[in-house]
Amino acid sequence: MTPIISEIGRAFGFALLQAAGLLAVAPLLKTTIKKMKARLQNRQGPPLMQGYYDLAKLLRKEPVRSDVASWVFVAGPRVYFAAAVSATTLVPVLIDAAPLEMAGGILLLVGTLALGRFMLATAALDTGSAFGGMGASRDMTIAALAEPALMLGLFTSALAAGSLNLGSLVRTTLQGGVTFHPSDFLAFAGLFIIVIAETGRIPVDNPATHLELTMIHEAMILEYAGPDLALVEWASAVKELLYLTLLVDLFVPAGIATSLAPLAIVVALLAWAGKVLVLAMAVTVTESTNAKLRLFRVPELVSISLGLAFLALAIRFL
Amino acid sequence: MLGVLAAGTMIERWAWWSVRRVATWGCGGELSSRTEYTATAFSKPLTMIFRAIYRPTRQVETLAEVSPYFTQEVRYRSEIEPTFERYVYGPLLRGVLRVANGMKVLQAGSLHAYLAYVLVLGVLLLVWLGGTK
Repeated sequence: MTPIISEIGRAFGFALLQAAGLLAVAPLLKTTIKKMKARLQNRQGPPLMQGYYDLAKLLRKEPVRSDVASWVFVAGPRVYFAAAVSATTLVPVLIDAAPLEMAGGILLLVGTLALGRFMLATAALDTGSAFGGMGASRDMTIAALAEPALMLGLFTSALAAGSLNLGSLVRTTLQGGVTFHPSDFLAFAGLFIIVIAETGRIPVDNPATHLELTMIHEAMILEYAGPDLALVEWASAVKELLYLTLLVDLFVPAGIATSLAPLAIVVALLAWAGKVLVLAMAVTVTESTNAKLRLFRVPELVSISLGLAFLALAIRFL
Repeated sequence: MLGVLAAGTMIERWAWWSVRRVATWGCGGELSSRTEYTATAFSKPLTMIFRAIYRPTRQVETLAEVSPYFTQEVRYRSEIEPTFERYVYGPLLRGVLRVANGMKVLQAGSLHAYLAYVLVLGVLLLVWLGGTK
């Protein structure tokens, strides 16, 4: 009895540590992408701490809510944030195991993130403003298209490792070494497109837009202010970091710590930060070299990703 | 996740902010239940994307008396093709009903015929089961 309890206790402690760590780093990633984008446009860009300043500013302000909004509006950002935080405990970051990997794997991860998104979309409809409805409608449309492609890409990787659990998936990939299997490349390309769609980056959505009619995610959270908005922004940053970490885990887990030795952890930290940075650069370059697609062109992009994932799956069976 | 929510609620007890309630911003217009986003509008992007399946039709009619710029009335009609009902469930339902119709002959037959069936079945069963011994 006692060993089980201490094991559960250790898992939860580990989960708390990892969630806190990712929460702390996420705003930095967002600002880093902004900064790199600015440098590509020959601008100076914001200081690296800007993400934290913004969050601190929003948290200090008073929340403004519509007088027709119900509890759904209040619950939206909170559930979204909670979903993002709990999703962090399902993904291995520095060690080749996720803190709460006995709770579930890929399906739970996708489901948890979908729940947060659903709550936010419902909350956006709550104020009765047309912009909220428009944003929710568009966000749900893209989610409905992107999620099958995301699942298919994840399943392809899971098929290679023979497990839906992210922890054992990473361990198997690590043991197998780098195989340069063609299906890995296809699945990676497919998932990269989906990560861009899910995090609201440029070919799909413009995170920096101030024009209501082109907004997708931003229109959905237009009615939020103060701490409510801070929660949404923070959770979005965590989600983005989580998706990039997921790509790193699935395709290049090399460098991740297999023991709790301090040296291994430091190496894993550096490797993880480097890999996420490289992916962030790829996102930045994609965002800087592409124009935003019309909403009705997005399905084409997603179907490319779906096609790539299908091909990857087919090659895996050959 | 519930734990995170619960912890958040606990922390919010000592929140330093007070909520300000204001009317929803409506771009200067009046917002009412008639200006809300409807289910049709919400699902419109998906309907457009899967045009091939839903085959939406849309008809806008503007009625004007003096000049086309002074509209008196706008009539809007939009419809989607019930693809699944028409091409999947419809044929299935008709097929089942046709088979059922055919079976009606058996079901609503005469009592004497039924007794004959029972007799024949009984004999057949006896022959079949008797054969095993």
